[in-house]
Amino acid sequence: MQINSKNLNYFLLVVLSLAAWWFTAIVINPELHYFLRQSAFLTDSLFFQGFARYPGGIADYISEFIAQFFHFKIFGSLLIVLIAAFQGIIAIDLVQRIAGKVKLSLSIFALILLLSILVQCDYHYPFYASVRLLLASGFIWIFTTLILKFPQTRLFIGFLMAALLFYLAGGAALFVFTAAIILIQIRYQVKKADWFLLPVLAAFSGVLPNLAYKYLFLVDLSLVYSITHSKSPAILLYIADYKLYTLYALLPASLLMSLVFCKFRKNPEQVTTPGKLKKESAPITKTGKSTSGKTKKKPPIKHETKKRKAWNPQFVWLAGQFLIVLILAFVGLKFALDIGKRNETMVSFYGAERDWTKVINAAENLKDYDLFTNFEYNKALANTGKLAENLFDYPQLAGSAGLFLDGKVTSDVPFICSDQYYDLGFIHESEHWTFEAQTIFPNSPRLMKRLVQINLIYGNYQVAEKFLNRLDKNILYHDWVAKYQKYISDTSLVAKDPEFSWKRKCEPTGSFTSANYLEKLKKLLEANPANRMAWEYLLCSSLLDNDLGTFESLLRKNTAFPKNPVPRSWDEALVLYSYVARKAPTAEDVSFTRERQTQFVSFLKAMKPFGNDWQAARRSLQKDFGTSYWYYTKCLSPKVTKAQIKQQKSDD
Amino acid sequence: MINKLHFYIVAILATIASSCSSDLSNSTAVDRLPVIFPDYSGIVIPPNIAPLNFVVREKGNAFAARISVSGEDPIRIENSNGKVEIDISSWHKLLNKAKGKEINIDIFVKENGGRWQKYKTIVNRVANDEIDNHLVYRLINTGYVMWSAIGIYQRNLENFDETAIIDNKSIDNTCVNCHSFARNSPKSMMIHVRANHAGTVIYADGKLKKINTKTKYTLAAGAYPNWHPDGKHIAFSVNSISQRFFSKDIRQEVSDAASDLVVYDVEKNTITTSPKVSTSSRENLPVWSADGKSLYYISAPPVTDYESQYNAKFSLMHIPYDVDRNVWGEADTVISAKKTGKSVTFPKTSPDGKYLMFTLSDHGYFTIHHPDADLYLLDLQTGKFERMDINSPQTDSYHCWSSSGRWFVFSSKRIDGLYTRPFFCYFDSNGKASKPFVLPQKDPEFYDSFLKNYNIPELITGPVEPSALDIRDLILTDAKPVQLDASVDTTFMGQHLRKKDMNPKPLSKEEH
Repeated sequence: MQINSKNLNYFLLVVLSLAAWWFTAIVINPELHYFLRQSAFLTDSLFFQGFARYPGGIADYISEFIAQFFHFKIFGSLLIVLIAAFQGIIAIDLVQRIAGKVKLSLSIFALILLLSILVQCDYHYPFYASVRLLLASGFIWIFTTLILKFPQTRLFIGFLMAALLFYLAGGAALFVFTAAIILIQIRYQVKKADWFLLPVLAAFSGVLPNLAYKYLFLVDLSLVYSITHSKSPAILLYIADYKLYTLYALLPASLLMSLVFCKFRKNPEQVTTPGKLKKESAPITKTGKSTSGKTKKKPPIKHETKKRKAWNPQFVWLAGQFLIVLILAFVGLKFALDIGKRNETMVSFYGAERDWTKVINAAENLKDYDLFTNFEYNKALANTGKLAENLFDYPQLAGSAGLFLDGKVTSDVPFICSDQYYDLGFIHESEHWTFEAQTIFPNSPRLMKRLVQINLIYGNYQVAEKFLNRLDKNILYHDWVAKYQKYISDTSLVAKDPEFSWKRKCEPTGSFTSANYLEKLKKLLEANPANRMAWEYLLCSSLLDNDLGTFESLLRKNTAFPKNPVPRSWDEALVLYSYVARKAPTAEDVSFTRERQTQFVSFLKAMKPFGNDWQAARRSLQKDFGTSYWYYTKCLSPKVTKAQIKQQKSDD
Repeated sequence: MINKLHFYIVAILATIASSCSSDLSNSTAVDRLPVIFPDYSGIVIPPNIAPLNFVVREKGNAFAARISVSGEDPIRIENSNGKVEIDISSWHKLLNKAKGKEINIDIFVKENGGRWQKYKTIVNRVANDEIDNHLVYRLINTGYVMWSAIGIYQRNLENFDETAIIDNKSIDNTCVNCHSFARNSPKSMMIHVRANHAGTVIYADGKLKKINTKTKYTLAAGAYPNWHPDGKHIAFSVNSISQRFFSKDIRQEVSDAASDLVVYDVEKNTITTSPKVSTSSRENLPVWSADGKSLYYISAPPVTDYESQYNAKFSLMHIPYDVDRNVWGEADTVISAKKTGKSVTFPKTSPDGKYLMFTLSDHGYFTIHHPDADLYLLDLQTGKFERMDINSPQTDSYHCWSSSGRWFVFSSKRIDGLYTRPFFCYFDSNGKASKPFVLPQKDPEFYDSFLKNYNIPELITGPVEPSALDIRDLILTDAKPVQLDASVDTTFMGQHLRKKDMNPKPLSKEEH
């Protein structure tokens, strides 16, 4: 096969697309988007009606349909890249319609692709912004096609499509459309009256959202103009930045440059008539019609073959573009992708998936401290029965505040509190947090599943079925629904399910107000003294609060669990207790090991030179004692460091 | 010629129709009522209600329903999914002919290869009295502290149209609540707005305004409202509200550290109160008597500790009040919490002034989370009250009379114990309520998967007059302050508020 510049161009487009696919799947991972945004698409009319009520809602509806497939890493990435590539192809086609064959198609395509990927680096990015832009691009393309067939109605079509697009994709898409079609009109306008109508079209687009806000749609003013919903709860809030604005501006900017290029082109005959480009190059007239529909193709092959042999300048040009794109991609990704944040999100994702090994590994590999990672790490340890053993393998900078996050009700805590209390067997509390989370994510499959589980445990089969019905409207969860539908048909299956039957034994009895988590843990232990997770949380909490007296007392009163072997952190705490209280633990059968005592002596010796300088001690002792309780009490505990851990985002 | 053609077309269509529907005459009888959802059996139906669509929950592959009134052509529906979705115009024609009569629903079910089985006929009665044709409610998720999407909506009860009165997405996701109307009239309305853009939206005399009802000498901004029959005054409670969460059936307890009553004059834009309704006790939930000459309200002893705050028992009180002269009478206890051992809440007087319906529960006044909450009826002439027959084991709480007094709507969680739905009852001249039925929906399985609660159902006689867009625009403006009426004893109120301030503070959000 002969390699000409056209083939090479296509080849590079495919290479770029494949690279984008790989990067999106492996590095960005759309599963994280799915996890954070809890995308859900339901097949009922009620769900659709919610989207049909506001401008841009239809694009959002389509987006929800697509975004649900982000649940699958490879397929989700493919969809993201396909949508970006589709926009790129439309942009190339439109530019060629305006300016004829230009040699920047690779750059245009690559920039759109790159920016579409860059915006995905922010895990709060709402995918509907991409869908809205795609709709705008599609409308522009349809417009340019229609005006060739119906040139006399071009402005009517413009106004009509603008209004329709505004309803489908919102104000920002309308602006992209208007800017583009004005440029296209400028390129092909014929009558003087049209010059007058162009500003009218611009004004129409500027005013339409406001009129729609004022007289049609019960929405917020910012919603009709902005690209994204700016008033979401903090957990969903995405702040549009230069990347998204550039992505939206790219198509009109490309068309503008094409227009300028066209005006200053030395040989205007090279410019093609819209729609005729694929057939041949033809000179354009003011009517937009080709003067020579039968112009013969130039036979460039011979000429190109000659040039290729002598480093065809078109190849060099393509190579140059490719290189610049690579540099831009490298620089862009370096700035846009926060690997640390991504990995923190990964930890939460694994936590939600209950993949405890991955939570622990991912958390331990993170460079920077993060409260939510700390929390997930502790939760993973608790679920694997290692909380007391490995608690200090992660820097517990928040102290006991890293164990439970339900102190303040903000949008980022209900999900994790729902999970945590479910794990603990405090079903009522889990339900409470699930409902709080549902105010933000009303259709979240994860919440729907949790509510099914909760109501099966309660024996509220009718309510469980209600949530199953709702979940069944999501095409991805039919299997899950089928599994639990059997529990409704045969309720004896609930008691036979080890998870559910265990949770039923854990629920605290009697009505009480649950002011703080310590009280809740005690109630859990009253209800089921064999609840080891609650027990470990309770003791670890007193350790993290440096409350050794309570710790020793609780340990002493323990009758439910074997007292030996003592987990590592508790062993260390007992040594410290003995040292501070200047007495051995009061229970004969609760004691520390000799080995731990020896290590403690070493720690004291190592600590001595630093006195109260915990910062210096932290640096020096980290290697040998960094995962010990003693190190925590002297160098990490918030009581020592007075650290102000940033807890939760504000939802004001 | 045209007539002939018409005849032939009708004849052909009739033949096709009859060939499509099954022969139900050859069926075997089942000696029980069919299971249908929602349960629309044995009820009294308003003659202007939307079709009572339902789904047959019997095992089968083919279903048929025949809805008939004696002497009239029945409505026939036949399908394989058991959903009985009735054509709205046929339904209204049938109801129109059925006023004061019985309406029968025959259900037939057939399994593959089997014969039609005919269940016992469901017999409902169609009342002569129409129900107010609109229902206003707030739709909200089951959150306790957080909220996201909240809206107040109106539903045309004669069909399935639901429109927003206000949707909080248009007003910075703020909280809207406590919609209230004067004598079921859409001409006088109010809505509270909390958090961002706080204030009270009032619509009266064709004008909208937004006010701030908090004054220096009253405890808080107006909370629970009730319009005077004259449409010119609103009685409010002013409450220092907080909430706590519990581990069992009562998930959430809303209570007050303190509360008083005030009356707002819509025309003068003034607030008044009196030492008689601003005592150390907790006066709450005022409601005007039908003649507008007095107020009923509930009252609980002052807070002394958290227990007394959250487990308070409210008595029903009565106090004469002349709105024109702003003169208060002496407060009387109508139903004493000490005697009943229970707590009264949501008193509502019937339009004819003969009855007062209220909710009774073990404690507190915010009973939507109390499964023990039931509706009671007080005969204002005899002073006797009794538990109504319409209650369920689940929460039965907030209620509202229709303008005629022949219908009422109330909130109930009886369907699943979790979500609040509006139920309607006919109230006859003897003071007896018919079996409740839930608000009909186009899709009879709507309630199986709808995950929002219907809060504060209020019946009104027509659609709300101001548009949602006007209400939104008003909410986004600043609230105008109200003036304290000159008659208010500010010295007393100042001392009173200082005393109340010494009561135990409610738990903050963080303390939960």
